[in-house]
Amino acid sequence: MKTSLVIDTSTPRTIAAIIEQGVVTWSGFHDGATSHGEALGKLIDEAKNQATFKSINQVVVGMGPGPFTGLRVGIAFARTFAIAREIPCVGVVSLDAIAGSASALAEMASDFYVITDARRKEIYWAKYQKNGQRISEPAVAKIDQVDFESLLVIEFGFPDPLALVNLTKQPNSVRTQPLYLRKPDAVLPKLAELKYRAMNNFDLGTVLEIEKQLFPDPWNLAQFKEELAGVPKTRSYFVAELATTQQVVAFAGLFCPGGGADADIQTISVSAQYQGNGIGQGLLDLLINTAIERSAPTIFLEVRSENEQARALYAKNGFTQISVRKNYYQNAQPRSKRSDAIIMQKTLGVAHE
Amino acid sequence: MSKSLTPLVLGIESSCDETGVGIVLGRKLLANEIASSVAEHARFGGVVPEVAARAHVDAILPAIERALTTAKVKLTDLDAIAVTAGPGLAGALLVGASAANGLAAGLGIPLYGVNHLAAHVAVEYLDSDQVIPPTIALLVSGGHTSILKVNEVTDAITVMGATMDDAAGEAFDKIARLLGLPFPGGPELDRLATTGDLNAINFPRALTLFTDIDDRANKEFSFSFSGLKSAVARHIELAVKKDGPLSQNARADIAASFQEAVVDVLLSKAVLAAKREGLEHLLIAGGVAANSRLRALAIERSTAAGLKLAIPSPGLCTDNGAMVAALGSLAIQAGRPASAAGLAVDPGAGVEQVLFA
Repeated sequence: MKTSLVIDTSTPRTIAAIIEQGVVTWSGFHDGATSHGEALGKLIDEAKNQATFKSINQVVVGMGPGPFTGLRVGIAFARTFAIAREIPCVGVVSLDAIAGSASALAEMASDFYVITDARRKEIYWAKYQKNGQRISEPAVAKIDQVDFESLLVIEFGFPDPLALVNLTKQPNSVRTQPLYLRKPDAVLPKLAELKYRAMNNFDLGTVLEIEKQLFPDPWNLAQFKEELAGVPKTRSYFVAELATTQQVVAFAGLFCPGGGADADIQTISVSAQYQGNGIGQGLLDLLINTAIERSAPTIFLEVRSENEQARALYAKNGFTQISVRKNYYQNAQPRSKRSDAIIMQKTLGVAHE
Repeated sequence: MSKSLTPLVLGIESSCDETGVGIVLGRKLLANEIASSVAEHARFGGVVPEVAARAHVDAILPAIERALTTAKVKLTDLDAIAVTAGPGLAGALLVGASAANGLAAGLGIPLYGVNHLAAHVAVEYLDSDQVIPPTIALLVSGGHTSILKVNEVTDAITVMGATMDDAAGEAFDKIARLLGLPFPGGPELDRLATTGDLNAINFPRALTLFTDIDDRANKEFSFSFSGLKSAVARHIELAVKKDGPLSQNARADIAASFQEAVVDVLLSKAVLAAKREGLEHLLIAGGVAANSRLRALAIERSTAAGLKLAIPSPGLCTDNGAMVAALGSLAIQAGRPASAAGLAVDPGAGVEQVLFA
């Protein structure tokens, strides 16, 4: 027999319930947009007195969308309660449980919208068929930016506990991650001025540190020295440093023997603290220009398949995937699990006769 | 919790950017697992509360599992859960408290909401069976700088003085940034300073000389680092104007001299506080207690003053779950009541509030 502990903190209402075989045996709620933590603790304390509390064998939690701070209260609680009891924890889209409440569905003659308060004069919203099936991904927007098509809008309702449990059977509604929908409010500070220059042996200390920080299978000093020994004949290596302090924060290398041979990007590595500042793009420009200067017809690279940020950068710069090398890269843990390499290429338009 | 004087306690710390889970048995440390979101904050040059809170949600279950594996215990073996309920970042605290609440409710065991600052002090009593003596505690971290008088760590903690502006660790991070060091700058600055001359520049020691008796009485154990920060910034500005970009040596000298100014003031006041209160024990805790110069000078000064010095190992100085478990365990052993259902976190909690009702 399924007995579910149901929790939702995606709206100003903190909701908890115990549902046994489709019947609500206990439920409680507390209204207050800034007191989800205390409210949930008190509600669960009340739930403990229910005969069905001991037989709970599943936790169902609303994953939002909802204001961050409150939303996390329910999710963090649900997850640890589940590991304490050694029972599953299933997350579902909270908005769907507003749309899916029986009282809502009884009235529906056409498609409809559900909106909840996202604060800062914004709403979370999604569109539903009249049977309660969601037909758009949950989103956040200013209220006047959503075209409700003159359809009915359910405003600022609350997730229905029974509907939350029913949603666990709908794959479209099951989620493992909180639906924040908004990025954290943080702005990257403007980076100090950067300088790009050729790499030399004195840079290798810092280069090795960055290499170790970024890769589970880092190159060692000997490998870098060997690479630098190939400069300028077959290799070109660059670093990016902060202009004020001369601190090296990124580096890149290219294999390009010239004479009409293709070029191959050996590495582009940006220290974790400095990623997201366009330094990778700056280094990639340098490598591409070097390859063009040396008349390489095509430039190739390999990238770890999970490295989506890098793959996006290369795709943006006109690199296309040509093949996959299975199990190419080693991983830190488990070492037995290897990653695929994506091979990408870009034609440089330097036709070679 | 009369069941045992050696309770098995799991502690959760999430007040800032470290997700810490520790397990102690009585006063024996069994596990101390930490997941840090510092790399994510580094790009912003400081801790971003919402980034930290999101990272806690992702990190907390794996950290709990790792701690259980390390300690070789099962969740069902636990006697109690302890959690940092303040002070700290509201959103971050709330994740830890909710997770702790879920564990306690799921296991049917008591929950102890504890004070983050008191936990930094409590960690010193792990892995020792000494009677806990009244002590002066110098608590220095990125968020706090205080001198505390601790008679009994689960009960009476008095603040003798605290910073009036920046925390010492915050000053370290800010000066590190001026010197072009990456965030978090404390450890980087410590490393750079090892090659510098700590007497190269005589930076100001704030609130160490008083001409007014009332002023002395009010601020003798207070700190201020904002003036020092400006002095260092001005020094760098003038040096760059005069000689161009700072050489490695010049940067190292500034780092060493700045660090000396901070550490000198911290220890002078802490030693004076011990003398004033007639206490023989000095304890140094918090993230900045991992600073190598602070540790070295603390040994020197406490030996000279005839004080018994205690500094936790660097891994237990920074924010961690073991310290929270330690304070929870000490609270149980002292017969203190558990927190009530609906434990509320308090981002601005003072250290006087060691246990949360």
